[in-house]
Amino acid sequence: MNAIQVNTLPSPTYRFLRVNDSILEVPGGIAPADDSAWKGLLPAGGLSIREIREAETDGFAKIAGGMGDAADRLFQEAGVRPWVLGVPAGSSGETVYLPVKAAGGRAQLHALCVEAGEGSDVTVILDISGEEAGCAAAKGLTGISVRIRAAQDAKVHLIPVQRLGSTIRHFEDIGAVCAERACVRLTTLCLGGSGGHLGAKCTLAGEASSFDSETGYYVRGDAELDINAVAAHQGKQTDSRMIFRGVLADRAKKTLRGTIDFLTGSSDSVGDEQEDTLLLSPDVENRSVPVILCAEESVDGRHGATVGQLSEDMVFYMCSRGYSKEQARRLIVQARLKSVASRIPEGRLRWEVEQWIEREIG
Amino acid sequence: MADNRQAVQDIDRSLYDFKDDESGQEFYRIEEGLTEDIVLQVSEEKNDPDWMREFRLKCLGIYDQTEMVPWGPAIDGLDMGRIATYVRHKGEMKTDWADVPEEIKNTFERLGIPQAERESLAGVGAQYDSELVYHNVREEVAAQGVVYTDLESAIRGEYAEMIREHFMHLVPPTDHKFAALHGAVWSGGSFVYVPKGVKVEIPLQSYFRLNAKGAGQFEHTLIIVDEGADLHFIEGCSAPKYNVANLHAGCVELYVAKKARLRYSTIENWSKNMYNLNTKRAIVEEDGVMEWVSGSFGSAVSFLYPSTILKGDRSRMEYTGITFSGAGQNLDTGAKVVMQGEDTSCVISSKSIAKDGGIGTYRSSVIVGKNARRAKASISCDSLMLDSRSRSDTIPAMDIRTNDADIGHEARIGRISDEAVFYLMSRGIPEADARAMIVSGFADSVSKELPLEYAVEMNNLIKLEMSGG
Repeated sequence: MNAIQVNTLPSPTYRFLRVNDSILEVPGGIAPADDSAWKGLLPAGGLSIREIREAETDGFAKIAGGMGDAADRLFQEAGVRPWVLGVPAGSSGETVYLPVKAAGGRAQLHALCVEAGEGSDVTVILDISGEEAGCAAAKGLTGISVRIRAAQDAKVHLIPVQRLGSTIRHFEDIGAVCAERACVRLTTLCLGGSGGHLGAKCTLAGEASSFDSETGYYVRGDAELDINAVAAHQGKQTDSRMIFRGVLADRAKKTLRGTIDFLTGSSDSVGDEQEDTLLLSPDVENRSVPVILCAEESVDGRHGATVGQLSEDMVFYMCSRGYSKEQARRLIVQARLKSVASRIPEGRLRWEVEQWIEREIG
Repeated sequence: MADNRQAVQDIDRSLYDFKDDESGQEFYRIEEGLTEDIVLQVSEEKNDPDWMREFRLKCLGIYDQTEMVPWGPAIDGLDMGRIATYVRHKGEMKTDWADVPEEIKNTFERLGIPQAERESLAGVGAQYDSELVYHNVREEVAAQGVVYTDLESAIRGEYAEMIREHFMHLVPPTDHKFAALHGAVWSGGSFVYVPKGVKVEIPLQSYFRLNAKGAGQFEHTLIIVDEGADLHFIEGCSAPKYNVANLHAGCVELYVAKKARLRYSTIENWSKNMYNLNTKRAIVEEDGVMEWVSGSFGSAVSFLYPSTILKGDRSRMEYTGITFSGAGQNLDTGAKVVMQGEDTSCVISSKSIAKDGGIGTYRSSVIVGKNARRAKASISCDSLMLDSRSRSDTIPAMDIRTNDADIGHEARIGRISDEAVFYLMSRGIPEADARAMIVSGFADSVSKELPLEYAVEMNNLIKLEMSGG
């Protein structure tokens, strides 16, 4: 078992809080997964998927991910060759569904690069699950790296949905870079698994580019979830919005580092980060570090967080509308995650996720 | 207009930035550096009891073994080998202002300290370099049993046991490198004890002046406010500017008993060659209230995070602070709170202004323990960037270990609103004045928490900084 340091806070703080970074334990024998089945899953519309070419490697390697350099090295040393999803310029509204299968008892790595051409519009769904989901015997680790290069005016919506069994650990390392007026949307749902790490970094390099991220998580049992999200504003008039909605139950632990970084030159940019965490048990632990770094005068950065129990006022209101207390509480809790799930395009996956939320929560 | 701005700046300098020659026979200065011999010399100068001498040596060992924290501003310009840790006037501390040596008296007269005592304070302590030169408390306050004295006298007098019980227990030398340094070479500072049920109606004040070049000031303030008592303590600090580093590594320990209330106000205007590595901590028992009011304007580098342990049920804390970072300054400030008791509450309100290439960082931590049921915390920090050469960072952290808590946090970084400037200009106010008015308004929530004369001083500091720009 190797331990690597990931999810490093861009600007460290007090050591006693133990939030400056996190340790990812990687079992020996970790190996690339076989995702060749992705080739047969492309919709019509000129999209392509293939293994990365040597000449492309450096270009994608320069895109920083949220988990940091150690995660990059992990993929390189394991010999993972990313698949490259090519989205031609001008292609519009395509949705790509890519299953990511966790294998019980094994540690596997998946990697995807998205090359979105000028003015293209694509939605990429990563359905992270496995036949072993829910099976106690399925101990393992699954990791996925995604790099996105969004050209001028491109729109990329990445939707990783994780519904693993309760004994599988999981991590996602996402990095994106946006050219002028490009937009990356990220909708992350972290519902199952025995905890893990989420890292996402979007570099808003081009003028008027934007990053719109919503993360929903449900952590229970003894699971620990560690999140590091960074919106790096480089270009003028860039816009970032990061929303985190979560529920912690049983003895769950969660750490969230969310950073809005206004770099020199990012004038007239706006960054907003909001966190709403619901604590369902007296034994949970919730850590939050919402950071704003600012080297530019003419910007507007803000963050807000509310952490606590269900609002009794809201429960009372629901009861006054005819719900029982129990129903009211369940609906309110589920609504947090359903609001994130509502960003998944209508279809089977969204229905399944909603069913999962109704079945598993409350 | 330019001439006018320069004239205003000159007034600012003369107010705090005047130097007194300390090369004469009447001053004792320990050799520069930090060694066991130097620590023993300080101990001898202080006529320490045995336990304190041993404690100093233990702290030196901890200092040597402790690394500097890997976060916060760089302190590369601080070389302990070039800092004299102890400088004092050879005269003894006085309780009558008329007996204070003339050259020192002039310094404090220019800062307005005796005048403040006459007009609005219950007692005053004045520290010059490493030692208190004056300490006095009004008779009617002393008659209530209030003790306000220098710490050295207290250590050897009737409060010796009380001091030993409390000294560096709240801030142990293992806390961080400069807490250990403080333990090794501390000198000066005040001891305050307010007996049960006594409400001190007007504030006590300590003023710290570091005049010596290339020296450190390590005063220790220990305040115990007993059950049901009430005190407002004011701390002021300043120094002239030199072209070498000076160091301030003071320590403040505050004990607030059941149903007691303590307000601790600070206006810090150290010179811009000062490394201000100060540690302040309070512990609050049941139904006790701790209030911090803090204005940070000076120093080259500051690490300053008043921290509060809300130990007792229903104990409360409020922190109201403002930091103004100008050219050449890197001020890392904020607050820390640990909520342990049930029904505890805290309100943190921080403002930060950065201009002329200054760096301001708001850093905080709020820890809600497992037993802190029904704890409530509200944290807000607002930062104003006045130009793009400056930098303003906000690094708050929350660690919540119970579900029965209600924690709200909000922060904002932005510029002066063009609409607000335009509105004021449309009412006939020049742009520069409009901007200064907006900044003063931004700081209003802090200045209204200060005693009037300090609020005026703070507003003047803001106006001077703005005009100087």
